[in-house]
Amino acid sequence: MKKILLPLMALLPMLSMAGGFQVNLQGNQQTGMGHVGTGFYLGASSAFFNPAMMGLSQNENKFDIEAGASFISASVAFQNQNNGITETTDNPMGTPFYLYGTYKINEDFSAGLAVYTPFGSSVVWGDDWTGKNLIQDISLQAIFIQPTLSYKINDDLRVGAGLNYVSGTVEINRALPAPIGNNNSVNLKGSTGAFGFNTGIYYQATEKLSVGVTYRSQVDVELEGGDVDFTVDPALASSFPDTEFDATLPLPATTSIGIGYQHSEKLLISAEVNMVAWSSYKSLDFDFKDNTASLEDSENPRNYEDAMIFRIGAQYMLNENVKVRAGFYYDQSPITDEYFNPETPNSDNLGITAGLSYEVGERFGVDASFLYIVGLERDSEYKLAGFGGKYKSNSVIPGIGLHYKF
Amino acid sequence: MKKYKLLYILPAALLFGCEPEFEDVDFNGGSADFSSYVSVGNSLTAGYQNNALKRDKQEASISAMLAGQFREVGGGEFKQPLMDPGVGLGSSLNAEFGLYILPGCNPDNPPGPTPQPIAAQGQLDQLNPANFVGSDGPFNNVGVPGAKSFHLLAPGYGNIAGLAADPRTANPFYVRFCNSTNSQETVVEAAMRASPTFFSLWIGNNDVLGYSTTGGEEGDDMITPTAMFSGAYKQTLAALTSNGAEGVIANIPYVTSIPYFTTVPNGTDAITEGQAAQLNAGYAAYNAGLDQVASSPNSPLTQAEADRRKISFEAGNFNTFVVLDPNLTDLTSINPALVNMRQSTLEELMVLVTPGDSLSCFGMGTATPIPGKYHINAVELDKIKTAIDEYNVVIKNEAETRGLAFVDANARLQELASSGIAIDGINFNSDFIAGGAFSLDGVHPSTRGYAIIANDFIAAINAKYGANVPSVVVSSYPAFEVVQ
Repeated sequence: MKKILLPLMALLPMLSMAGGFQVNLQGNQQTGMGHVGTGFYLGASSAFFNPAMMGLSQNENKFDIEAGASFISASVAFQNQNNGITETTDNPMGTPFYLYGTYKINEDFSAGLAVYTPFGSSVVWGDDWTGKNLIQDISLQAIFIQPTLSYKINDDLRVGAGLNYVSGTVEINRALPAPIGNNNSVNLKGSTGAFGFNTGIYYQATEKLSVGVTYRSQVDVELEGGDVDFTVDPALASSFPDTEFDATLPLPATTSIGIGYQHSEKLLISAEVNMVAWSSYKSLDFDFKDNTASLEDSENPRNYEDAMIFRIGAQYMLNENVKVRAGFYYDQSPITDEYFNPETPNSDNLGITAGLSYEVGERFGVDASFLYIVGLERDSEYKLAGFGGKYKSNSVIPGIGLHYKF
Repeated sequence: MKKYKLLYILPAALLFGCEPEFEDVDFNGGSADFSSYVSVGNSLTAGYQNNALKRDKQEASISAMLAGQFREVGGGEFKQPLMDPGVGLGSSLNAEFGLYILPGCNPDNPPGPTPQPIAAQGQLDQLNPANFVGSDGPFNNVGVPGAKSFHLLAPGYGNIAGLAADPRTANPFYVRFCNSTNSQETVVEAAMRASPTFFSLWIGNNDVLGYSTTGGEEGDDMITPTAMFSGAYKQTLAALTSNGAEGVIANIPYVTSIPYFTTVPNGTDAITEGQAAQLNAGYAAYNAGLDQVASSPNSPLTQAEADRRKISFEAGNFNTFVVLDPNLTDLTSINPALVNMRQSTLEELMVLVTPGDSLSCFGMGTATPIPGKYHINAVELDKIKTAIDEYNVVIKNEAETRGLAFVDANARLQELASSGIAIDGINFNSDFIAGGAFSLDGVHPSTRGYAIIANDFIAAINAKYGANVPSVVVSSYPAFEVVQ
């Protein structure tokens, strides 16, 4: 599977598709039904959705594998209400991916490995748009690699946990509004590794009803010695020397509660709530190694607030080979109206999803999903920079994946 | 059935998945009629900056910016008395300032990019009658650099013969575009000839500015008495509104918060032990002489003034400069060495044109006193502030009684000087050059600074006339460039 992984990684970055820069596209089966998946088992992707569920595999041959990717075409529009100017992002296609493998060690224990991309962002407003002094473009990537173990406490109750190694990369370009020169800009680039964890509990309440609770920890991406590259008028060269920066970007903790209800052999319905602790994202501060009178350390308050996501979804088995899915979710923006920066132009989102799985044989199946996101219109500003207006967005995200057992 | 529904949903989502779109913002003029807009004022409305009037800056004047926005909501043509392309003309017949990298007198501490006149631009051609543009009128922009309130009503202010009179009764900037068939036409009459349906009036800055920039009492440019300002202001507004025109008027900023007065420090913290000892030894005779005069019978000098005049320097501390002050009791007839000097107070200001090399390398302000023309003393500061406060009461009252839109330009520039203003990610303040809002003369705004104020005019108009005139994009105007 590593052969597949490398080309997929080259397709990064992706655009943020949930609150802030969270990207909730960790399984095409789940995505097809509103990205619910905490409270019921849908294969190897449980290593992400709820590690406690890994042992629920009915595969006698013990190995389950799932892989897939999504293809995000997202566009954000901005309209300044004072001058009427309207501008739209020109984002590259984002390609979040996932790769899961689980192995049933015995009746009680299962092990798994998950590779996925739950955070990321790629926003390109252009070099010369009216908000260029705040952001021209940003690319943020985080790849999580998660070895995982699950344990069956009794027939109804299971627990699981995984350790995350996170590889994070950030690159930001913005114009530099110095008083001299009209083409000044700065490029900030850094990457690092960090650790976190993913835990879950699964409880089979009745024959039809199951409940899952998960907690994915905050991961602090601490960039040290990132590159700061200034392009400035020669008169300013000594004021803005190329240097290095330190910065910390928190990837917030997420707590999820989900239920699955097997209404009949054919119909499964689910509801889920995610609580994302965005309030940890207080400020994006750059500590420059070399300071000058003109180049002081840069403090950029964000003051995000915790946000909730509400999801419902259903899966219906048409026949032995085909399952169809649909879902809906409402995803709150964590950003307040005074701290809305076009660097992460995130509104309250409505997601409408559809999906399809086709089993080619006993072992192998294809999962397709389609997600349409409407970012609701909002009138917000980044007050500290005196820049704001109306924002809205939409995204079209088809996805394809495979599942295989042996 | 589900399959068929999916077949519907997918293409529909793809269709709506195109770029999100907004409805256009509804811009309108409300109850205001912008079909003939006329701007009346001084250098601020003419487009003067970088110490000169120049065509490219006229085209980016606050008046031209407003006219451009009015055009979006029914405004008409806006004709300006443009200079010839590439030609700059300053009020002292100088060229426009550009930004240069200069060595300075101290190679260890070179000055930053420094404003200097750009080499000859042939500016004096503009005072050749062959280049006058009066026959092209009427003009929509009748801003005259240097004009005071009462000049707008002065016959002959555009008559070339008045340039040679002593004292001068004409203004070269107005002579350039004054009515070619009536050299006695006043600026207000010139404005009325353009049949304004809407006007802006921003006048009164020069009624205090000239006094201030030339160092106060030492200059020959006195503050206009408030009664005189008030009379001229009301008469001007009466004329401009006589045909039912509506308009916007702006008050006068405290001139002492502009970089012209806040850039050169009024002292230094770079005095060494040795220098302090040497300076104090040098001023010992002066300090002793003051005490001697003050203690003599029937002395014209009080002990309090003697103490206030004494000069001392302390190493490691901030020491204010030694300045000449004409308000001090003249003792030179008693002892020629007791000149009218003291150390500046912390509140008093130095003007931008105080020679920097003299301060940093040649002992001016420490070993020798700074001439009064470079120093605004406390008495002068008080007179300036009092005059502006009184003018602003007149302006505010006129806006209310005549129902005109009112711009609190003073509050805006105070905000710029105190907290600064962030617009489109640019942080503006009143710092010279670095603050971005003022041009290279330290008095007039930069184009971006004018744009900030233009948006205040637009906001005031929108509020008063129920209009929605679009704002200008401040960040779309250029920052400074160094002259190569």
